Amino acid sequence: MAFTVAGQRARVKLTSAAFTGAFGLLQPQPPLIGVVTDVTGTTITVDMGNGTAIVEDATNLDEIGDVTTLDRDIYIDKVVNGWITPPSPPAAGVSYSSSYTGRVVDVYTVNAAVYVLIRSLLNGMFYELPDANINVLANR
Amino acid sequence: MAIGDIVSARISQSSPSAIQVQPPHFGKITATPIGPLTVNQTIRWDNALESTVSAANAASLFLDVIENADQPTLDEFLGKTVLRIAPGGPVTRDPAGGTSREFVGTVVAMYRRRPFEGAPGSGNIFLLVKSGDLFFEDLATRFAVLTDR
Repeated sequence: MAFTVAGQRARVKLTSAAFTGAFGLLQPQPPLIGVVTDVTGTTITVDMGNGTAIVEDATNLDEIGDVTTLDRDIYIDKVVNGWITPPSPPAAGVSYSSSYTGRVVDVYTVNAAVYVLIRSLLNGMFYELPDANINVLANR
Repeated sequence: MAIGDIVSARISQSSPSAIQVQPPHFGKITATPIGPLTVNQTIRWDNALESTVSAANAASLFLDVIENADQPTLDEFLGKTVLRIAPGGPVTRDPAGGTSREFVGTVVAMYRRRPFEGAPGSGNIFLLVKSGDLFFEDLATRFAVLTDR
């Protein structure tokens, strides 16, 4: 995918060749996501919603997109935890510590892959995991 | 060092940053115009702000390049509740080291901090941990996993 039109969402890309983000979000605060207001070639203007508008090359940005209705319905308004191994079958997964149990804040795509943003019930920590590593807790 | 590297300020010059009021910030190097005596690095931070940091040499920037933690660290700490161990404790990596259980926390991120002037893969692996509303960051070797959490 690539930035093509204004109205898409974007954030500063915090992965590199040396850091691939193997463990969710690098930053401890919730991700700051802005709205693209101009696309001129690979130069992207983003209103970050905090009083800052940035002009960056597309290589320095993550493209944030909408998920399907199906993916949204799986996770929105759910209490979840992380799976260390993608569950296949579901019982094969190893759950994160109970301290990570949290409510789903948002579901979106990051560069076309589905991610779930969670806020821990224990300490308010935000963390973001690929949807394959999310365990929706029953009866919560 | 290269355009696209992820960096973070080295909060403590001589030892790992420990307990701190605010979480560390991370940024991406977006430009590296290099002069004969001054090293300039333009960084886009995670809060969208941009800064250009100048110093006489790379070491004086006091920036660390963020690299992947090694697999054993990921395997040990991913999704775990941990306790920080006082380095002067009687038993290496044992909670008897003296840290209060009030400092139990969940691991937010794992990464290697490589000094900006260092070779790839150098430096130490750190954990960023949240305990209550407090963030702290220390060497991965100074944490023990609590298996009952």
